[in-house]
Amino acid sequence: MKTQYFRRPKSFLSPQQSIVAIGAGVIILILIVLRLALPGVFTALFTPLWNLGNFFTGQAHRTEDAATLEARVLALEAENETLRNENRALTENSDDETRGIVAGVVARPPLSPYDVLILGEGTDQGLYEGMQAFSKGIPVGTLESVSAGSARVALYSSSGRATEGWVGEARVPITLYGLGGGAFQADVPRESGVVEGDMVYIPGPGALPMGVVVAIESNASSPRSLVRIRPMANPFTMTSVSVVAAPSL
Amino acid sequence: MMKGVLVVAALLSPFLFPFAVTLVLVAAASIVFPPIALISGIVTDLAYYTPAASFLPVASISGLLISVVALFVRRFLKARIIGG
Repeated sequence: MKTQYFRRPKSFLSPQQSIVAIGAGVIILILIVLRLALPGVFTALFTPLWNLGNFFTGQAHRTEDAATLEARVLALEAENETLRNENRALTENSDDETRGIVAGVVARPPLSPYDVLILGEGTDQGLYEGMQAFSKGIPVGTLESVSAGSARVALYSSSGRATEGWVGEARVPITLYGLGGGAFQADVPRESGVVEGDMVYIPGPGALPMGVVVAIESNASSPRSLVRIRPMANPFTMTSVSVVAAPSL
Repeated sequence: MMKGVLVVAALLSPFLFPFAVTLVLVAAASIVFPPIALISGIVTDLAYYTPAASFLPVASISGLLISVVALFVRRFLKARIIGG
């Protein structure tokens, strides 16, 4: 009689691996709950690592040529004097509300896969969710998940985020769609008269310029054109932002 | 030793290097230790994720996918070594 051999089908995970997988699942669940309940815990935990990253980035920039730096210092000193005078004049004519709260950026793209800035200031410094963040006067995003000592800024350029705005001197209404990495796109009617170099605005106290049209892609068979927009503020180089209360629309 | 360094580098990478570099490090480390991709993805989302920036926690999902792929690659490699 022929001997029959039955091979037991091999399971994907062994019993030990299954226990480890279940344990890992429980830990992940606890972490998610902790993250939702206390968003600042992990930011506080990770801040030393971000500071370490910023330190290394700073060291890398110090290898610039000394002569080039000296020339830059002279040029910057002259520029600084002009700006100081300008700032004095503006400060005298403004109140605290319009100046906002200056917050240091701890982490920025491309460190993060999302277009998010991590700020080193939180509710202790007067920040709260929904405030608008500006980089050198350019609106860049809104505050999300604010904790005592930190906050996350979701940039307008976050992938898929829609922001209402206008384009050009004629203020053609558009919806800006974030593409990630600081870029935007929008579609406008082909006959709208939008051209390359037109400014893009979003609502704030008035219309705030935030980008420039760099390319217009149109198809003869389509009544609409695709507009590519470059932001005026580069999220990759932001070291601090000014945070103000969002305007009520 | 090198394997350990690779795994630690993949874990710290979301705080020190651009995301593209993190992705490469995690992919390399997950061949050594498949769960590192999922762990790194979760750490990235714990640090950076906010629903306003993305509907889905993309880093965790990508980590899970890389871990599963790495697990299959490891099994395939083992089978090839034993079979060969």
